[in-house]
Amino acid sequence: MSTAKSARKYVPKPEGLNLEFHLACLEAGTLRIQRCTDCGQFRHPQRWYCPSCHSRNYDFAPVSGSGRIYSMAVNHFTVDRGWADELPYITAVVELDEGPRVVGSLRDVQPGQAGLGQPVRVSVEPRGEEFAYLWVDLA
Amino acid sequence: MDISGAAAIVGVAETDYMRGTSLSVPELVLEATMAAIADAGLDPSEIDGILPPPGFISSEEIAANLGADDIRYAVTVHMGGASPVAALQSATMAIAAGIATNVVITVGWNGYSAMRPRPDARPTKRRLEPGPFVDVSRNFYAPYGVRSAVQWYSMYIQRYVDLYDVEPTDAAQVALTCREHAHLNDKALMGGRPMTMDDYLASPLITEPMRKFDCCLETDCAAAVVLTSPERAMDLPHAPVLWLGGAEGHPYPADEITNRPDMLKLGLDSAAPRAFAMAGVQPADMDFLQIYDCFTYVVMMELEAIGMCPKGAAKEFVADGNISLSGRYPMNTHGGLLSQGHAWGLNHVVEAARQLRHEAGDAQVRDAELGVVTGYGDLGDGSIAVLARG
Repeated sequence: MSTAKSARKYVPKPEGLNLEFHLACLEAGTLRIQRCTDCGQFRHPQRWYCPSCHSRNYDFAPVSGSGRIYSMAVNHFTVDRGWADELPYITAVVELDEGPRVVGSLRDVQPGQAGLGQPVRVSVEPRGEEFAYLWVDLA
Repeated sequence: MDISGAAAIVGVAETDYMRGTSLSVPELVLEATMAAIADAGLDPSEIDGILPPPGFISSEEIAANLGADDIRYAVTVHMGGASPVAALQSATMAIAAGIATNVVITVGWNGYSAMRPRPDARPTKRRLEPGPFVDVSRNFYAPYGVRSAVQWYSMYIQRYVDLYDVEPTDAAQVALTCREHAHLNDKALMGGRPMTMDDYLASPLITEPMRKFDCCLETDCAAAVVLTSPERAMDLPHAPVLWLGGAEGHPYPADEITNRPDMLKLGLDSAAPRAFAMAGVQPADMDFLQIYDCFTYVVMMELEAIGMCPKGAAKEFVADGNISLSGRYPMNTHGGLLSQGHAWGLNHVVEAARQLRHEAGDAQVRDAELGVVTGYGDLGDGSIAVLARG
């Protein structure tokens, strides 16, 4: 993928808890997931309260980055001009070994070459100062 | 408080379904609203409750056009395509509680023209409001090229087809049936344009497993319905259509698809049993089904959610003409969002009312007494109404 193409893609300006997530990932260089420091439950996307024990205490804990394809959007059409040159592209929902699921781009895989349940690894790549882009690779 | 049967639909209307128009959305909404009030035999100034669409035009602005100077209830339901059917519940609550007497529900949009403005069209600041899930979708899905409904829903539909071995030829039955029914409807955009299984299978993939012909029609249109008490309805021109029961339901969490404990559990799964219990009837009692058909596969999941068939059995349910006009459960007798046009499913309510009034013309289900309408929207919100000829 060329830098020019990447530049045309939409990059959000995170705020609040979501910004904390991205900064935690960027600082570590690997995936971090919000975790309740009282009951230990992971949660994603970020929430102010733990939906299990209602604690407001949390950190962004390291996770292995390994998991399996839980579902995916196999895109043959896009309304997003930033993605038109990538068609077809696959957006994967990954269930991490630790439980929570994340959305990222499955790269170097054609439609039909990957299925649900397939083992994958999730890595992060900085997009600017405040956004950690998630890549998904077949394990 | 039992609100079963506490309100009746007494007026219905829809604009033409168009792909390109010079009319603004407020003009479309007001055209449908005025026509529904006239259909109810009421004067516009008698309206005292308004449930407007989430965007484009406010209840205040509608009231000012109606000369409705004593609005007692105004609220907007934010459930995307599930809003109109959920609004039936809200309107019935207001009528049952004595808060309002004559309530209008309306939606309208420029679903076609917004993306294809005419060269001479003046820009408008009137917009659809963003859905309640927008904070998640723009931060977690959009960066990865997933920013439209067909892409969001594919995240659970992929699991649905994988789990139950659903083939494109199964989903095709929904598209082909809606198309057949569109030929019976003068207002249907796809009336007179036949679709065969070969046409369906030749349509391009959009987001797997959805093809172009699994997707509803981008449409410019508006629709409106008027509700009042069953007592008041007796004095009005049309056979009243009673709201026997209804409910809304929200998947958990509603604003994010991928971390749901069960990604295949829609809002309708929890709403439907409550609606049928309130109405005191069973899914098998229905004379017709008007199912929110943004996408064929979503229809199949909804049919299972409302209990027409067990989980995974929708592919058998929609086969062999069962959902055709001549079948046991005629579905989307107006052509649906897939082949009539997309009025956020309020067109499904309009069609259900016409069926129960026995005014559905060539698409009339004989002796229709009882029917169900569903709504589906945002990231899997659901709504349902069981309606009966009064």
